[in-house]
Order: sequence, then structure tokens, then C-alpha cells
Amino acid sequence: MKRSKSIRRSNFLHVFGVPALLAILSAFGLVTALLGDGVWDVLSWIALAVPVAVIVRHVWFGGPGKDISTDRRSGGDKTS
Amino acid sequence: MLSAKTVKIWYAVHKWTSLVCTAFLLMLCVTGLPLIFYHELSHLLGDEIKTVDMPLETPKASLDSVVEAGLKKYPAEFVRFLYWDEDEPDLVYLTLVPSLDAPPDVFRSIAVDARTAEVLAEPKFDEGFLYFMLELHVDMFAGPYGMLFLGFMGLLFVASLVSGAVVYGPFMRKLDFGIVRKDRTARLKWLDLHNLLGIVTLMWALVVGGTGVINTLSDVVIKAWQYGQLAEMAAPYKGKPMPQKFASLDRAMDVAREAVPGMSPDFVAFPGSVFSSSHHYAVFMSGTTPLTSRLLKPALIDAETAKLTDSRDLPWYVTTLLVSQPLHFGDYGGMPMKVVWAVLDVITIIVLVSGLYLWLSRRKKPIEERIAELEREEDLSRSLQTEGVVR
Repeated sequence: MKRSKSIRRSNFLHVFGVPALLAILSAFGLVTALLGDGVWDVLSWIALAVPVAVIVRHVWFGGPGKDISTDRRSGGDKTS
Repeated sequence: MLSAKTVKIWYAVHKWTSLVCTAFLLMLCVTGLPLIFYHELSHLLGDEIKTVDMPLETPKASLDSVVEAGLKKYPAEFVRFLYWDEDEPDLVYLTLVPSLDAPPDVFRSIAVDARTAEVLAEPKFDEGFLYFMLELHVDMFAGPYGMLFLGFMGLLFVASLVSGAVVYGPFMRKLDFGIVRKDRTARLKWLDLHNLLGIVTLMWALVVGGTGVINTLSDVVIKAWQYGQLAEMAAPYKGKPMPQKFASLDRAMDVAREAVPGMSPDFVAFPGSVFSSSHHYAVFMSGTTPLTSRLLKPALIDAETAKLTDSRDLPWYVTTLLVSQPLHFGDYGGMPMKVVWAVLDVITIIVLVSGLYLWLSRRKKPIEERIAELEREEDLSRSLQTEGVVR
């Protein structure tokens, strides 16, 4: 019982961990520019640009490890 | 993880909410793109009003003389609003109407030099490319009902985002975040792109979609305020006619500044306009930070005596509308924010189009079979790879 629960949780984190972080960062970026100018704006630009950078990285540069198997079992070295 | 039946329901929600709203959302994303740069584009398109160079410390003309200049040009008309240019401190605008009960879309705007009280131009806000984009975006030229209809489409969009995030789970269970399988079928590649682009921009899309929905309620919100707080504030004047002679607007402004210290005037609604009573100047004051500059506080000044009648903070529903505006427009963090807004808008277009493509190229199999199939394929390619077999 306990074991399957922890697997379930790690599964959830595996799928939603990065998206959740990016969502929090986006929300942070949307709010900071409302609070002030100058440094607040810069923080907002960076926070909002990170999701875009993540997309660019994965779409054009393949991202790290193409799927679980290559990453975990064959050390992330994929030949194709 | 979710049971197969729950996944099926969420998937159906995602499919149907998306299908209904996609065409309208595409229109909103495309027309919204130039609107992000409304200010810059209107300058580029030659709508900029030039003021003559004068020394920086040149004093401002009285507002009474500004109003007088406008009425001198159109003696038979009435002033409805007076407001300042957001970026150009030397420009004041007047909104004139031919009669006090003119419909809201019948008016003219004139730009006046704030220092010389000279009429500079009559900007046309109801023609040209940007006006066309704006009207399409706001109500598709269909008035209040068009606006509410688009609000409903926005609600469906929000539902499709939420359900999309839920079904992202079972699709990605055995995959790493951000995977884009370019070397298999086109459909698989676009499925991966749809998932990646959609989940990464989820929060932004939720906020812009949600605040867009709130904005479509603006007519309702303003009506509620008119019949609620505004009516309460002006209650002692109920039934009183329009003043025969108006008190000095400059004196009214001084009274407003005193009543609302630490804020500066944003616009003035004249007696008989929707934002005021028949007997008041309603001076709307605003703060100085990006947020507080949107949060208005009205001061009702008797237009006959220039005495303060009442000043209150706006109720929560108007405040919600005012805060949701910058969050929808993306105009509160300078040019870099507008650029990010535009990029995220284009990404949303890609998510919409890829979603449509995935539906059009669908195979007639239930969702749980397709997920299982994807996972079987994944397991197969994985075992081939671990055995060192290269495709």
C-alpha cells in the first residue's frame, strides 16, 4: 500500500513537477510588474521569458534525454 | 493516477470545449497581436498628435480655458469627459457629444494643448486598421451581446485549459517533460508540441483568458456601479436638474485633490455622463504605481458650487475589472513585456492550430486505447534501445 502510494506521488511529480514550477514562475512574473517599475519590471520579464526559453530549448535543442529509457537505463546516450 | 473512466470524461471536456471555442480564440489571438502594440502602431500609422516645443517649465493653462476652447469650436455640443494623455503630459482630450442623451458611440474627441489651451487635432478613434482589430477583438461589431458571447467563448477556453492540463497527466505518465519525438509520425510530433507548448504557457493563458472574460463584463460592472455606489453617493441630488451655470472646473479639481490626497486626476466625467450624476463633476483620481494607477477613486464635486459631495473607494467588482485590464493587455511592464506577450500569443496560436490538427487527423479509437497504444509503442522503442538496436 505504502509503496504504491509513493510511486504514485513520484509519478505525479515526474509529470507535473516542471509544469508546476513554470506556472508559479509565470504567476510571479505577472504580478511583479504590477507592483512597481524598474527592478520589478526586469524581474517580470525574466520570469515570463523562462517558459519561452524552456520551449525553445526542448523544441530546437531536443532537451535533456529524449525519454525515460535513454535517460535512466542507457545513461542518456541515444543514437538514432 | 486517474481511472480510465475519469480520463475519458476529462478528455471529452477538453475536446468539446476546445472545438467550440477554437475558431473564436484564433480570431482573438490574431486580432490581439497588433493590439498589444496599439500605442506604438498608432504612432507609426501617423496618428500621433504633435505639440510645439516649449520650455519644460511652461505653466499649464486652466482647465476652464481648455473646456472653453472645445466649446468655442463646437458651441452647440456638450462636454462629456476630459482626460489626460498617458504619455504626453502636454495633451488633454475632450469628448464632446451633440446632445446629453446621445448614444455612447456618438461622440467626437478633440485634443487640446494643455499649456496654450489651443485645439490641436480631432483624433479619429473609430476608423482604420487598429479600430477594426479592436472592434473584432472586443465584440466582433456585435455590441454588448457580441462582447458577452466572446466572454462565453473565453470561459470555454479556460475550461479547455484546465481539462487539457488534467489529460496532460495520463499522456505524459511514461515520458520525460518536454519530449518532442520528431523522428516518428507527424501526428506524434504535433501531439508532443501541443502538450509541451500548452502546459508551459498554461498559467499565462489562464490569466489572459480569465481576465479577458472579466473584461467582457465591463458594461455590466459599470451599470452595477452606476445604480449602486454612484446612485448612493449622488442620492441627495436625486431629481435635481443640470446646473444652469457651471462652477470652475479648476476649483473643482482643487477640491478633489484635497479630498483624495496623494493621488492625481485621471479623468473627469461631466454632469450627465454615465460616470457621473446630472449635477456633478466626477473627478477620478489614481495612484502612481503600475497597479494603483489603474485603481481609481472618484470624488463627486457639485458642479454648481464646486463643493465636495462624496468620495469613496470603488467597490470590489469595479476594482476586479480595473485590475484585470492590465493583466489582459500586458501593457504594464514596458516594451520587453509586450514582446513576451506577443511571443506567448503566437505560442497560443500554435497550440490552437495543433489541437485542431490533432482532432482532424484523429484515429477512430477511444482515448484509453490510444494512450495504451502510445505507451506500448513507447515500451517497444525503449526495449529496442536498451538492447542496443538502433532504429
